Amino acid sequence: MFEEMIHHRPPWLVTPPSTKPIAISSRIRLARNMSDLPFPGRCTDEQRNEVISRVSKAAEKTVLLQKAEVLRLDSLSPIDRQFLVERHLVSPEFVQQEAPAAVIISNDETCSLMINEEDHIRMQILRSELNLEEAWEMINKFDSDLEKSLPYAFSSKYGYLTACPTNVGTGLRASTMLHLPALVHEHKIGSVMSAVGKIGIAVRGLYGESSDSKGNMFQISNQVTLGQDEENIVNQLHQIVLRIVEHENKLRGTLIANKPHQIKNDVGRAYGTLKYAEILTSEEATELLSSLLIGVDLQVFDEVDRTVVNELLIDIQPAHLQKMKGKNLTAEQRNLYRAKIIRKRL
Amino acid sequence: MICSFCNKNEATIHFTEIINSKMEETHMCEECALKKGIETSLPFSFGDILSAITKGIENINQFENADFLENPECSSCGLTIKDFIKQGRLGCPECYEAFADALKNIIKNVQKSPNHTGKNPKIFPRPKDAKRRIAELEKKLNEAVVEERYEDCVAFRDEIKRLKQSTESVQNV
Repeated sequence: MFEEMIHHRPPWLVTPPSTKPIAISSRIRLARNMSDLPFPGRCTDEQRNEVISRVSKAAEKTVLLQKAEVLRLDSLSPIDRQFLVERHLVSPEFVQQEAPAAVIISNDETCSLMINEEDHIRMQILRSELNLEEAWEMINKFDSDLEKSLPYAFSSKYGYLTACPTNVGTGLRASTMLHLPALVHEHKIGSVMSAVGKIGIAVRGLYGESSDSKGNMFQISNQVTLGQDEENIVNQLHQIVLRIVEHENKLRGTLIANKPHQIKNDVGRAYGTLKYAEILTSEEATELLSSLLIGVDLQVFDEVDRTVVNELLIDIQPAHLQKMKGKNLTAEQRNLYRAKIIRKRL
Repeated sequence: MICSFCNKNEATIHFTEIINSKMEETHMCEECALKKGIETSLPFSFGDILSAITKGIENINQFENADFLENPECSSCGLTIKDFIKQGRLGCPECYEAFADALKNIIKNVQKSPNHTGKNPKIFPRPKDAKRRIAELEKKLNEAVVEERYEDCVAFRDEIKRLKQSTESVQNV
């Protein structure tokens, strides 16, 4: 399965060449639990295995996961685990645990289901660009499919019951990944964060809880899960993303009108370094690729294809490099190999 | 919200006191909190969200009734409030009932409203859907009685009973 994944791009990353999305991808996840067992954190290993077995059987009966393989966490090497994190299919917390857990991933990587993360079930649908409504429709059907054979923990007051009260109710977290170089460049990202924060929306750097971001990538998501229905949550986030995209577009326009040489200089230098560097850390490469992306999007630089840059952003991550090379690499070796791959593809 | 001690400043510190197993909420400004010697920096470090949501109960620590933290306990999984504060996670679905009072405050802090308005599993129809369904079934039941279809009667009656129970029992949670 992993072999195939390395050679195929996840569909959510593939966008038509004509589009220049600021919104890269959209995700919706739902948290669900069994009514008759403790939450995973308080389950015995035996109970956790029971959850894996029940959920796997239920997943087999769904349209989306009927043919998918159940991957037990204990059968995955540290690199496999990291690979799935880099691919946005599981959470970093999920792969760090020792207790029985499993993940089921659809062949096209659109749908994944973690068993025994913080909740018994964490399912997600990943789509390209801003497609939250479509993702909600898909996951809603999938959830109703699963529900037929699983006794969900539910109360009519609090909705779907979850291990953490921050997820209770709909159990729904919707998020969109945004590429916001102009807002970062013009130091406006802070005000965007605090403005949306006031209405229960969080903006985070791509891989963390902190506001630091790798390559100007941000994840924007709803915080409220109770007291608002799913359509409302999804629609509200959609509207906010549209506003941020509009803001970013406007700033990009201003940037290119007022500082054309500065932008061309940044992009050209980024290309030069990427094209000729011998050693590249993941951080540096991500930053430079982001600069290149803005050059492509603003049409000041046409020497590279956007798809190549998009793919590189995924492929230069540590576990992806090691999977491609087929062996473990030290950080130094990875920096050399990363630079080599980038040189070759540009 | 205005500080309930000076009635002047914006209340930024909210805590819940348990006296004789009765829960009382207090809202105060930083100034009054300092005067009263209440530590405002949080003794635990959870995730950023969790520290905010448990703010309501953490300050209980500052009060004499600190043994509240040991009790109550969830009768189903044995989790105590102290465990919950430490881990930031509940133990099982029944914890929502066992810690209903404490959770009420937490949920008020983090969520939009304390009532679920979204999707329901099919076996737990939304109250208004359940009502409609019950009305339908009652009509069918009457028809079945008149037509002496006794097997249908039993099936309709059972489903009405289940629907009534599911909406009543969970409303107390």
